[in-house]
Amino acid sequence: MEPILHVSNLRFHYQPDALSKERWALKDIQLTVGAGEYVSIIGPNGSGKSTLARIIAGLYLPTEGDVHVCGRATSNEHELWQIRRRVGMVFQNPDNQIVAPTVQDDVAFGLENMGLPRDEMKARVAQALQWVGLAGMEEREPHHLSGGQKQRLAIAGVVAMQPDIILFDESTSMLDPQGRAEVCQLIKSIHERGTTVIHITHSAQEAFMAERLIVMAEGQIKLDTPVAELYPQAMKLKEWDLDVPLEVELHHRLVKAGWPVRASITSKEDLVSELWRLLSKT
Amino acid sequence: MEIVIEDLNVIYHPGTPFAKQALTDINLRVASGSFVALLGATGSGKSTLIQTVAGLIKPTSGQLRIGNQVVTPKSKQLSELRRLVGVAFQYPEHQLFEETVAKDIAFGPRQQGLTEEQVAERVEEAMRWVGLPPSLKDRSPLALSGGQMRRVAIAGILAMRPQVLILDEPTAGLDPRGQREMLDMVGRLHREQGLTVLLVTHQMEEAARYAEQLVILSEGRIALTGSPREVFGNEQALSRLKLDVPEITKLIMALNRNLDPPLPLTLFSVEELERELESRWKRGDDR
Amino acid sequence: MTPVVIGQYVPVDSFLHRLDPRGKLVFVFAFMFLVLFADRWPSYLLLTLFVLLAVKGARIPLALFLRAVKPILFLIILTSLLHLFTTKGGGVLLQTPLFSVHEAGVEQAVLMSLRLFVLMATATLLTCTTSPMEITNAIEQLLRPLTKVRVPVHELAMMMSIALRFIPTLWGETEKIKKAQMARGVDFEAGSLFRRIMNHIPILIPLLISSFRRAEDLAMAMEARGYRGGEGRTRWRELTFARRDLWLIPTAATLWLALWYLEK
Repeated sequence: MEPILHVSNLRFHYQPDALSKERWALKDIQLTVGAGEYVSIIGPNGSGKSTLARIIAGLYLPTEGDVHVCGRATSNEHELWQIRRRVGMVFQNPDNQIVAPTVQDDVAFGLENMGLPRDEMKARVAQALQWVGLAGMEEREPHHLSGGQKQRLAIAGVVAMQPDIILFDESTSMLDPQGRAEVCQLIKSIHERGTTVIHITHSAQEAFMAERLIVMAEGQIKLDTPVAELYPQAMKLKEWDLDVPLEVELHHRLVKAGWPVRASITSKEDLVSELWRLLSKT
Repeated sequence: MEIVIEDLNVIYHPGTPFAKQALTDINLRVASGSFVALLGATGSGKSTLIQTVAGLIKPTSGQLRIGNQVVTPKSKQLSELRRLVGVAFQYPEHQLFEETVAKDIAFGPRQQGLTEEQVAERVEEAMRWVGLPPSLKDRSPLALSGGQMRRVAIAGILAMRPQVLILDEPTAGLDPRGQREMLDMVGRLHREQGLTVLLVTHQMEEAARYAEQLVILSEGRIALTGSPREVFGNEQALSRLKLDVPEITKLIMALNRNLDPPLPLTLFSVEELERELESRWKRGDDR
Repeated sequence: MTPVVIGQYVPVDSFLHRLDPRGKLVFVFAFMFLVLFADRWPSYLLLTLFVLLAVKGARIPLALFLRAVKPILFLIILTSLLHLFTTKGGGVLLQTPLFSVHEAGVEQAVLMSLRLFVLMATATLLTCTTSPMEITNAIEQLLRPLTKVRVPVHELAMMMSIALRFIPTLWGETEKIKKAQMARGVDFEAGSLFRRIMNHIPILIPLLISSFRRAEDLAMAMEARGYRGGEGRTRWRELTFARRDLWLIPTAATLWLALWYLEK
């Protein structure tokens, strides 16, 4: 897999001119993401995960180190605009990322910035709205939408720009369960279309939907592992005050209690059938 | 303090083309000192119900009684009721406005016309209750972390010494640790101060773990009420209401698809589930 | 729970709705100039008649239209009373020790209220038949030549559009904060005027803080979507003059000529 994102020796400080540089927001970040990957990043508040997302999106510049997105360095002012076209970002607060007074105008906003001809815009706006399930609401005003709908609108605005990477920065944290489910479903289909997805979240359940999981704490990457290999080591998440999905905890407890459960469980369904096997043997 | 709601209806903009029935025939009794979780999808009427209980919306018909305060559509003054009920809306930290933590917490008690000494005492007490160190007293609330700001906001409500505390999604937007700490704090307030707590939440885990009584609203009506065991054990009602269930209940339901006899749906901690599985397994061995 | 804004856009389909907003805007300004220039009875009758016809043609429910105009009723009454009592001239119609009413006063009062009514009705008609987005767009395009003299036309239009987007959001937030502070014991209706103004500080400060936070978030979101000012930008909303827009020209010309004749 060809890397679409390459971060090396990244350090970031919010006041790079400050005399004492003790409080680095990010330090010694090494990260390579291949095209089409689905990565989730979890970590407590203040662990630097949102900062990292903003650096990848070219919104902040590294204090030290290099960030290459699609082969372009974010340190190059001229390339920065190209990078922002290639990297889409969906933020946390659904209200504060909708720019225009109607649904269709908002989806078009990014396309206007790209300088696309009107015919192309028309096609892309229609397609994106169709895709997120907001077709027929073109003239709607954003404040008449539900939280989940607003977030889907934000996704439509990003998807219409056809970026190579889409970052979700805690995009589900302000939504109700229904809105969360809708957004998670969209994230999944974005990945299935071949777009690289980086999903930052607090929710262990959501993080486990990805193929690869990165744990951040204190401005560093603490763990970087394929989700399928996470079960045996998932209890480590508690070290950083993170939630462990219930089925993972149960598996861990049963192993400790001496049950002959397979160590290589990969998912909830896997655990359920393993338990069926064990309980029916008798 | 006991809350009794009888035949309550709330209609917004009654008698206009914009009229909208938000609550229909609500009958509910909340025992003094109990911990109640209010559940339901967005738009199910939760927000209207808590605002009515908090004395911010008047009923269109029916009545509400808290302690010996009765509110009917004809009630003129709701300020007495508001004294009894403290309410922290979603993201309550957005209502902070004073320069220092202490001044903001003191805002409510000052409105009640207490003396300066009494106010200072209330502030100190409220900060202790929510677990804010006294050293933060003179800091600007805006310079604190998200979790701490929320505590300041809740302290500002507790400082008015309400008998009933309503919290609308107090864990929204916090990280897992912040969520845990927030709920533990609410649980402690409930136990130690004897507050009657009404918790609005979307998270079934929270509801199952902390509440003694669940009230499920759907389209402005009470669809289901009972203890967590009664509610989450009632599989038919759950699927009829398309209600989200705790993760553990989901896991048990998945297991039950192929287990006979099924596991009970009334296990709410991983320890309980482990014990139940353990006993199953042992029983199998004996056979 | 959004407030009913004066002259809110009424999304129905009519000839007036379909007209190009630039044309409408220019026409309305020209028409308002005519109203201010008119000074005689026949002119006013003509202008009022024209406005009433336009309201009819806009297919806006009359009740909605009247509700939109209602807030200025007070202003109309006040102005006409002022003119009624202060304008001297002609025969005295009423004489009391305190004030007198002259013939010219009555005439002026009626003319002034008609003038105000026609002005307001025209403005309302414009906002009822043109969405705020179209108006913003039209202003941006009409003012575009000013870019040459360094007027930041695109930025102004963007500001207007963002304001349109966020006014309802901030209104909802105001209501929310108000409720929260009421629950903390603030009574917004009690006390002296000064007290009541002071009572709003606990609403205004949180609102200000949250607006700043929103602005910061929004700036970041706009940048993430590649916004870098008006340069190199294409537009989603394109305005095109159609044949029907040409009707505005003879209409305007006829009105001008008629007025010129009547006032002569």
